[in-house]
Amino acid sequence: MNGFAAAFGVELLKARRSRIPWALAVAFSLFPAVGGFFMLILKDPERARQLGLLGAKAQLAAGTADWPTFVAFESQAITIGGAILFAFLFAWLFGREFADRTVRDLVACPTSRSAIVIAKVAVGSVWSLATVAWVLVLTLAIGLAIDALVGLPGWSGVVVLQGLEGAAAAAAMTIALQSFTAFFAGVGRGYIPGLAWAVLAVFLAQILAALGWGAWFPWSVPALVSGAAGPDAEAVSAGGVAIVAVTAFLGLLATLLWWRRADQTG
Amino acid sequence: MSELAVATFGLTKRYRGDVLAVDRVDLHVARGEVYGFIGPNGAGKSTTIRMLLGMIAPTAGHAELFGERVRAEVPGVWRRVGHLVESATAYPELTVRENLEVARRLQGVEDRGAIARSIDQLRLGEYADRRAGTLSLGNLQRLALARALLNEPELLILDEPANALDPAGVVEIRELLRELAQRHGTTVFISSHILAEVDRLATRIGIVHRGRIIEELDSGALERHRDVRLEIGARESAVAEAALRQAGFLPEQRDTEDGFLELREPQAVAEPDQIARILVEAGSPPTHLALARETLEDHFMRLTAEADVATPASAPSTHAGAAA
Repeated sequence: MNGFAAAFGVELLKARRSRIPWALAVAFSLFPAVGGFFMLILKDPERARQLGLLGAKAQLAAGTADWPTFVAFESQAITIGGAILFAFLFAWLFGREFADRTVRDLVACPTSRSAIVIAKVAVGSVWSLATVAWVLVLTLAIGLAIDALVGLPGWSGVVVLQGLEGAAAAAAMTIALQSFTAFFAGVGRGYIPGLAWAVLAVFLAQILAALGWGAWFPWSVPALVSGAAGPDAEAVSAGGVAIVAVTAFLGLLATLLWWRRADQTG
Repeated sequence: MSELAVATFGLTKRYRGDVLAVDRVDLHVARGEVYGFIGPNGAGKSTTIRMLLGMIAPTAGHAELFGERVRAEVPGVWRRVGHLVESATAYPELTVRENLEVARRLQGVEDRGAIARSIDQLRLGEYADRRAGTLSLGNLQRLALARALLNEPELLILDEPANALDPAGVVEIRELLRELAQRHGTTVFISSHILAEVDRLATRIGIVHRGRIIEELDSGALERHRDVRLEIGARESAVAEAALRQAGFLPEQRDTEDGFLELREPQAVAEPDQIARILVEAGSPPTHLALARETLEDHFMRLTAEADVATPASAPSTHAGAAA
């Protein structure tokens, strides 16, 4: 593709220099910190009340302080939080060109529009995956630290690894589906339409999962894979995963076609 | 190899709602020309420029750059083109140097030294490591021009390049463009509201009004088309007018406070001293005697006013430049 390497380098430079992708990484880093904090409280609620960490009448419904609960919490946080936080990154990557009116410098240039779109998707995906990898490592580190300090029962290499794998798979699907956020940020020529789509998709995912159709609605599938939809949620078949892949590809195709054909009046 | 840097053939853009922004525009800009593209707001200048750059698809007709048809994705031709469309923009979080690095990579310019040359050319050295978001509008405009020149283009398409520049900056950019055209043979296609600048710089001028080219002329023809008149002031205006009529001239009383008379006869324009002699002999010596040459602005105002009279705005389609 004409100029992909150049476009990728440019997008990476813009991402490194902007606050938005770093804010995403920081926001994600809060998940294991909060999860670890909950584990400490659940481990000894009375002491947490004495220290003022927990209100006198507050009850935590997160379950018990053990490794499976901690990993499940992180998995849910990554899946549900990711649906919005990844959308922020993709809406920024695509919508900023319209908000800053820099799109005009991207369209009459030797680097093809397709290369620019693919580079944006690649940078968004790499950055998001790297953030998820960092959060999974942080989860493990915080869990081990709590285990060493106050004891966190239920360690099982297999269980923890499966939990983290589920979170990673769900995050990868959520990231792939951001092609639609990219599409709406382009069509709507700004951040807001992309973000609005992401919120609507989360809302629809909840409704359809509750109605029992979640395994066939692409935006519900990641939550089902990660276990964020609860232990009683329906199982995801290979067909459900394929639907996510096809939907993500269609979103990318629509984004490419729109960038190639739409009038750029910004 | 096409001798034309820019050519359009019946270029038309109609937006939804039957808004006709550009109406069958035929432009032919030879290599090395400095083409001034002028017109009132909403005339279709920016829409035409965007179609030249493949940013907007025409509804009918097409544009060619160096003989190659412009489409949304024809990466080859853009290596030879530099552009600045309307207001200058840049990535605010990147420095001036980084913004130019972004442009260098996207334009496929191998030579890293091009950035330093562009910074020097536009006198941005002092601001090279400053974030673009903190630049003044004038310096942002310089950055946009530096970006347009980065690939040493054979064709520069500039929409309002003097925007936000101070008077010294306007002169500096004019001289820079003149040098590029004269020394390097760069073709410059320039749209500007500052008609005096276009007048000084352009070798050919196209006037666009309500989406159509109403006049296209080279600088020599513009000189010949210019309305030249002799302005005459006298204490006894009626006596002066009578004397001039008696001498065979047709003075017109100007409808302004100064009450000057005007003569347009070639003889009067060529020999103002004879007019002075006639007035002195008639006992009404001139208090003001000056040749007034129509500026491009006057010429433009006259033409567009005439076009408005010839085709009133109640045409079937609404004419408006969407981004003009």
